[in-house]
Amino acid sequence: MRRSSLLTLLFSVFLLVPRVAAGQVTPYQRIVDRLTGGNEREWIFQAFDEHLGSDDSCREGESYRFKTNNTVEIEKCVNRRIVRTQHRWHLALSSTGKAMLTIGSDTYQALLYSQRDVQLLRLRKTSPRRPDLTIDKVLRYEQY
Amino acid sequence: MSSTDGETNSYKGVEIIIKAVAPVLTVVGILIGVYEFQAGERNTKEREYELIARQDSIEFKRKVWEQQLEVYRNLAGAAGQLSTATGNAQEFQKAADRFEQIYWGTAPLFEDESTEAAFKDLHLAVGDFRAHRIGANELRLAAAAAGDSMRASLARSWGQLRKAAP
Repeated sequence: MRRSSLLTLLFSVFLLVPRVAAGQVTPYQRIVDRLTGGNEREWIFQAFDEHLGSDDSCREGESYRFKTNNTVEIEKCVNRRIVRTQHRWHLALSSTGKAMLTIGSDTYQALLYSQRDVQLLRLRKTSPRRPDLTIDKVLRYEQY
Repeated sequence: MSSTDGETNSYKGVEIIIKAVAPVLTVVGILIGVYEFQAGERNTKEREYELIARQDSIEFKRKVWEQQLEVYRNLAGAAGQLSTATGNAQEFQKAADRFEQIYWGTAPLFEDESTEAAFKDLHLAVGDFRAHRIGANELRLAAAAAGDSMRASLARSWGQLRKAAP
């Protein structure tokens, strides 16, 4: 190995080691960690109003359980029954740092933020045109 | 009749024909000349009109480009104010008002699709920053993206203007 190559290698290692040791996480990983809680995390859009009893009867409710294996389990109260569906999720960051979250075939601008110690996930549907409506769906993570 | 008389008669016949045809040829020549002159004049005028129309079009495009530059300059100023006044609520409010005024007012006259999207992002980011959903850095990223988009848009418009120039 040439001396210059060896020096380059040593310099790269010198730059890399402190970052790895400090456990620096990328913005992408930070979002995934908050979204899944490191394993799986349930985000509530509308709290379930379930009837007491063993059946799945309900009046309202919608929740999203994001898992690290890139699946999301959506529970919705439809016609007084809890309906569970499973979808794939995919996260991509735009050049301006916007998180684009795809759930099944729908893509949202995702924003994770906290308000009054409550973690919130906003799923936004918007178009690049000025007059078009922007629709936000804000989910909350309930820490029990 | 001798051969000399015959030659004299034929010479006279030719002379009569020439005398009859010459004025006709002259008139035809003059008419062709007048027609060519008029056609030439018409072409010259058409070319002049075309040139004037093209120059008018370029002048109009240049004015639009200058107006676009002015609106973008104002928007960039407002975006810069937004980015630097994040710690001062009063200043931020002023900058936001200025930005919103241009965003809903003159910007639609000059923006293209990509700048419209970048302006909308910044407009939404201002709302998010006010509601404490995003921080100053995210707002600055949106402002910077709007700036990049305006620069690219101006370059595109300038390119079109240069292509149209004779």
